[in-house]
Amino acid sequence: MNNKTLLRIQDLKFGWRENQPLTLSIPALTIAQGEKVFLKGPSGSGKSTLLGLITGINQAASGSIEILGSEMTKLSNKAKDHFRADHLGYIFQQFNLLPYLSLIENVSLPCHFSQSRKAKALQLSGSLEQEAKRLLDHLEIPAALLHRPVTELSIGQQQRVAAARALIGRPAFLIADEPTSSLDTDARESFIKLLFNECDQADISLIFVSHDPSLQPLFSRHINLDEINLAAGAHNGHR
Amino acid sequence: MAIAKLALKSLYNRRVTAILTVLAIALSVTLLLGVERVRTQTKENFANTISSTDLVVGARTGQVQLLLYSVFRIGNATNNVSWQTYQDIINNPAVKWSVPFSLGDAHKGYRVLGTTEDYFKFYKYGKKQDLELANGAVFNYPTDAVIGAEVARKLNYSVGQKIVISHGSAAVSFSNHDNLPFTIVGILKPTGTPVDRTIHVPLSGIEAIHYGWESGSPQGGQLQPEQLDQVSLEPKVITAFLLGLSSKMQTFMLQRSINEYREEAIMAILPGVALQELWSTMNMAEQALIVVSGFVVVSGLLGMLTTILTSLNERRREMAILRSVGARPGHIFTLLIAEAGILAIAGALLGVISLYTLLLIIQPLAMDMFGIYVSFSMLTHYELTLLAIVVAAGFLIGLVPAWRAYRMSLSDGMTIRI
Repeated sequence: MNNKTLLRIQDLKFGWRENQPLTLSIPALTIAQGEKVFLKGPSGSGKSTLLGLITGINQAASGSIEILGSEMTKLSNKAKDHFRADHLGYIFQQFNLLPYLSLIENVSLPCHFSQSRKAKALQLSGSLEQEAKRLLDHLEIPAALLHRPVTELSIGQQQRVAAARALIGRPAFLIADEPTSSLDTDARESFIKLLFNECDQADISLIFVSHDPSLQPLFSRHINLDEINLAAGAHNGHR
Repeated sequence: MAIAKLALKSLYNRRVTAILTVLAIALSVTLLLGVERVRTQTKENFANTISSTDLVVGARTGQVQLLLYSVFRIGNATNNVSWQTYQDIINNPAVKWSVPFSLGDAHKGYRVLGTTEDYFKFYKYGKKQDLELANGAVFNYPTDAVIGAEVARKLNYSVGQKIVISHGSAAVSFSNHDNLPFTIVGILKPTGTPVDRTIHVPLSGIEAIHYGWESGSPQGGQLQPEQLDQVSLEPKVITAFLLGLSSKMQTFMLQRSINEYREEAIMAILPGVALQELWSTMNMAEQALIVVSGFVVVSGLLGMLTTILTSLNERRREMAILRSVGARPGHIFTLLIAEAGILAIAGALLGVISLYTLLLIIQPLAMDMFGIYVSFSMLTHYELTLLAIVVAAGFLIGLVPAWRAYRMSLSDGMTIRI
């Protein structure tokens, strides 16, 4: 693990409407490259809002969000889109896959929107298909499933395919937004272990969002949003 | 993977609605092209009916009326032209050839045209095509008849058969000229014009069967076949006549002198001009047809708009996934435009295919029932333009859902709503 900074947040303030109480007010937050962070917080605590700010979908009212040395608040929308495509892998809670694409096509999808990720994938395996197969194999998707429709996969398998997709082309960091909440306990742990393996191998940082405290011990660092967010509590009643 | 390929796969995933949308567009395209084709073909058929004739002369009436009864054999003449006048006019040095027409009788609903051998020499249709015989020869005896292709086919007539002509033009007549049956001596090749539905006999034949009918009904003293040589069969009146001039320059001069003919109220028309006027009277119906089929296309495309728009909400997840793997809002926009474009192009193609399938089925029927020859030709420039407009409109309509999806993907980002 090195000491380069992945994410540095300073004096970040965000509210959904002007002249209304803030949803987020984070004086400082730093995540180093290669770190695996467990981000927790009760539902409505502003987790999704924070992710929106980090990914550049939401626009901060004030403050600074620096990712890999780029100031996100100063980038144009187009530049943010490119930045995200090149450096971020994303895993949703569930239904991550496009039902009309094959497993391989689903996994290699990010390489069609980012030249740098495509280049890295090709460098690793020679072809996108090979790289997708390699990742799927590492994530323990049996080769027999490769030609099955996505919809025939179990949810656990689908989430692992989604992880392979987020990992392809080695982005700098990965955001997993409650990816295990629809899995049973055994599947959760094995999913996280596989994910960790791949992240370690490729030196990918991981921001893992969850409200399941049982997973917390697996992570080296825990961030409780309520503790770092000065605006916490203001909205908890109705958001 | 190109966005178009993604659009194709996404559409395939929703193939039932996609196919229905394509069918709706295809149907409207078939209708549009079909109407267009029938319109131009009918027009062409009309224009092809008479060619190379400089003037049509008949009793003074409307020019469309004269054209209808003389050339199209629709309706009846209001008055006749005397043989004397006919002779007088064709003696004009400007006249190169003339073909007299005598109408008023029929056989089983098919008009009988009394004329001369010159008819087969000078009457031209289509692109200056001559009449050709499929069988037999041209008439040369008063009771010889040359029949059109349709008459022969429908009534199953062949050369050598005898037919009886009825008085008047109705399909069923109570007074038959059965004293003088006619012999079919020739059958013409199909022309796609009213000639196919005509029985041609010599003027002398018309005169012979009306011998003793001076007051419009049989008065006794009708001719028998063996008497034909004993009487003069020079006609006293004819219905109309066609003129060919030695020089086109003289057309207007001769037309004016005929229109100002003092001895008898006759008129001369230029067939091309009369055809135009005839066609312009049908313009309204023609326009209405086009407008209706245009609206059908619009409703087909609106159907597509509706399907795509309603699908958008269900597809917010798809959009969010695409955004999460790095697709920009512009990609989402292109994806939806491509989708609309693919549907429109598929609809247009299927429309063309079903048009030709339909033509294949309709072609013999149209010839059989209406005598309209529908050609099985390639798409015309105009039809291609229409298709291009439909496809362009499809893409244009795609802008609406594309814009909505663009906005949605901007605001939703990677959050999956719904």
